[in-house]
Amino acid sequence: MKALSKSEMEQKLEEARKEIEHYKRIAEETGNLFLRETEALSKLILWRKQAEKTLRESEERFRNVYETAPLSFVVWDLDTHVTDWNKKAEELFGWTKEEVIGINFIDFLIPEKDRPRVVDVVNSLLNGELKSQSINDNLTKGGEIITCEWNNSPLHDDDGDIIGAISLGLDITERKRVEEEKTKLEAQLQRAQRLESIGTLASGFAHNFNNLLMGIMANISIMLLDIDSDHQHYKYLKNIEKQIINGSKLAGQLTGYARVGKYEVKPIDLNKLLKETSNTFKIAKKDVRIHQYLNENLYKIEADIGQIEQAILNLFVNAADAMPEGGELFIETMNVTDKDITGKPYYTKPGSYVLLSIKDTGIGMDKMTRERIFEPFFTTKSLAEGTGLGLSSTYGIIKGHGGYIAVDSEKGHGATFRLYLPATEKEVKKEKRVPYKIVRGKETILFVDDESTVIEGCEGMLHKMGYNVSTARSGKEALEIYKRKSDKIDMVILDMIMPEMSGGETYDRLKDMDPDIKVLLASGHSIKGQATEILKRGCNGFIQKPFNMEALSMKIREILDIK
Amino acid sequence: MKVGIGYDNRKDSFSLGKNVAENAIRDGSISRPSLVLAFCKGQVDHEEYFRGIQAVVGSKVPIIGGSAIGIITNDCISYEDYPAGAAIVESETLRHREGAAGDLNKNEKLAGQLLAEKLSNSIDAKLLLLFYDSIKNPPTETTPPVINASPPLIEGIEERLKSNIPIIGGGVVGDYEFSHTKQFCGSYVGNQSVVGSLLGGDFKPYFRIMHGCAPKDGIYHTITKIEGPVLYEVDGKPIVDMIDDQYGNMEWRNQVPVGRLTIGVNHGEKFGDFKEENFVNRLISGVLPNGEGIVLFEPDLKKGTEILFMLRNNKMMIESARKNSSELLEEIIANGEKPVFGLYIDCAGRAAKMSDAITEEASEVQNVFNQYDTPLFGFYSGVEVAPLLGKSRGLDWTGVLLVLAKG
Repeated sequence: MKALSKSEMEQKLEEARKEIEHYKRIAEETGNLFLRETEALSKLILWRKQAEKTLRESEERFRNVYETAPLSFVVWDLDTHVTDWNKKAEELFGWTKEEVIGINFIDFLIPEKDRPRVVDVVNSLLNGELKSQSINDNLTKGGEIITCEWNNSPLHDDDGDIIGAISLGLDITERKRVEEEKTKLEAQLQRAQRLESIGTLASGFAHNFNNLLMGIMANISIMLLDIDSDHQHYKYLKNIEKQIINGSKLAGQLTGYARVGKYEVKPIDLNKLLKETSNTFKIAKKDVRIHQYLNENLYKIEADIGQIEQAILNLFVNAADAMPEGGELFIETMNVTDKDITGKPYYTKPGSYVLLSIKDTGIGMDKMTRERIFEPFFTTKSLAEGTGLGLSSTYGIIKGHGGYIAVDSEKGHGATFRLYLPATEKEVKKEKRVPYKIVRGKETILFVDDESTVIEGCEGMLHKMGYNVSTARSGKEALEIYKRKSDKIDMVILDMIMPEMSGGETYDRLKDMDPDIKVLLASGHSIKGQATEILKRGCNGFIQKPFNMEALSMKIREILDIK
Repeated sequence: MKVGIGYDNRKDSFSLGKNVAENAIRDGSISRPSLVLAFCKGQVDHEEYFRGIQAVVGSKVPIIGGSAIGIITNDCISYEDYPAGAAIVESETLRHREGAAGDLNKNEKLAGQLLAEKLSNSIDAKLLLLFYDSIKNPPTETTPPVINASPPLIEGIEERLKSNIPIIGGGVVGDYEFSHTKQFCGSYVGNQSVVGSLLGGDFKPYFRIMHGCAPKDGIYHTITKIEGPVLYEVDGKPIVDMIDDQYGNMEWRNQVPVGRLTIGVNHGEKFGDFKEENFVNRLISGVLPNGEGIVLFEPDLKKGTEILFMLRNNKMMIESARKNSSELLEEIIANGEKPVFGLYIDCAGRAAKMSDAITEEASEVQNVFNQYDTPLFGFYSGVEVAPLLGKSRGLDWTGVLLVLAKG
């Protein structure tokens, strides 16, 4: 082997050094690469750990929601066998998770009648429907039937194939009951509103009708005053007067339906009124046996005794009509509060009430009759037998007194009417009866009415009674006259319903002009207690049209004789 | 010798200590406790925990240990919430003497000397169990943590102890934020302390060091500028710039401690085959705020020392744990002895949470001990102390497994 020269050796050494450097660089770069890769891997692992942690937390949160949610979770497979069942489902349906796992939920949870519908929902879901909602009845372990709203979503495996579904159920039994109750109440309210609108029409009709009758009555009264009873026309005129009174009663029933005013409101003893009315009724309907259960400590009510008597009588007649072969009539009174009022379509005013129950053993009513019983002109009788105004009038009277009326009845099982009237703490005052006769006078009266026939008739009546009369056809005219002649006018008879300036406004202006003015209010009706309101403001009295001469003369003297 | 292991995890520290001790007593059927090794997570009230243990074992039984990031037993590995554990030893034949010294943060060597003085003139010792406060100063927003150095501590101990007794133990840390820690010093709870238990009697200690780092590229670099634990330059170049190049970016500077890269010193043949047991690794605690140097976990490297950049390797770490624990127990059995108790001092950086490993490396040790039905107790530490190449040293990124065996 040839020995290397020094320069050759140095060259070899240099080559070796370069080779070492080369391999060092490779080693260093390889090491750096490994470091960077492991660092990247570290980040990847860290990310994965964080993702796993997030997933774990998410699963934990879901499990928490699953177990504590107010919804029932039912997880089921392709065979509708339960695979999971949360605590709420246990609470709601009564079965534990262990009891239902592996069991077909349709067999134990769905009532027979709902199964075809639920099977349809199941098939839709398993056939790829994204989600579905359903409301159906469900059975509980205790055998109770509850109603649930279900939201169903299919479950998929990793390949996207459907493996079952999850159903989230909300117990809506109570909500459904409330909604049904609300629907029922809304229907009742609609009926009540319908009755009110019909009532408004009836009221207008009654007003005009009474004005007509007033005109006739005034003229008849004048004619009767001028003839003796042996006059050949006396009998006929009396017949006309009687028919006017009947016509007035008919209009009165209409105004009663329309809740027309409590004209003479005062504290009354309902028991006493019931006893009197029952006695009268007993004489007329001997085949109806009346049973009274009257609370001896019954609260008093503030009412127009005539209207309440009319309302009660209408119910008695209705009961008698429902018992053509005779029967039993049970009358009961008791003290209650607003909380005891059932079947109310309105908000009831808080407070104490008197309850009057009138129950018969008659033929009863079907649902349709029950719903329309208070409508005016609704009748189950033939046209020749009745007007259909009796119960509608009762309805209006009771509403007009701030009360409520309800009826329970079934075909073949009689009917019970319940009247709730607001109680009062005021005491009943004893009344003196005044003999009915024409009382004359000499004072000056301003008669105000927008109806010419009424003015003419009443002017005649007043003249016949000895009074000086001025007339006005509107509130405005009345004010002008009174302004000019106030010192000569002793009293004003004022119509309540007039166009442009109402009786109420006219009264107020007159009162402003003369605080001591004496005013008798006259009307065929009063809307929403208008008459009462005017009386409260100081008006001296009220007379309902149509009135005859005797009634008018008495009212005038009651007012003029006040010192 | 009987050893019972207890574990619990709850917020109420007194109950925690009481439950841990009761569980250990029950586990080992202990009737007369001789010595308690106890550790608990940093956020546990250590005084209350200590009192809870004493409520069970009495105040005369020494309790040594302190803070730990987590606990390892035969059944659990935990570093979440309030983990705590204890090993209670009962033995007529185990001779032990405990001692403690404070002011470690002022002078590690002096603390070591004081400890050794308290332990000297003692039993015919086979082993010194040593636990000390790793944290001199917790990190601030701008500075890495400052560590109590193990080399002067060990040097101080070895100067005063009569013979070359193997020292096994660890520097304790209580959390990954490197907050201050506490130590159970036999009869009291201290801080900035070192506690030791000199063990002798009828047993034989076996130990292994589990590694998990390998050279990045096998290239040696010479330290050209270092001050205490701060390494500025190697081969005359700024080390921070070198590491920037290695990572390809500066993101690593945000890591406290640095996760992947360590500094290693090969005590074996320079260009020989890689043998993990010949390497001492040093954790990089962080980078100086001005980027001029890196802070090492121990200040034992000197100018002129040849170092290698090492990479932590999870696969190697797990294999090392499995291989070494398995071999150690096989060795004991092969020697006709019976493993009675295993103590595993595991670097907190080896926990799956810190090392980004998928599985826990300590579970490999657990599996082996459960196969041999041997009680295992361990904790996650800051520094591990064990003899390496004939000298007891503070180690980083290692797991030190000690097994007491009986003939």
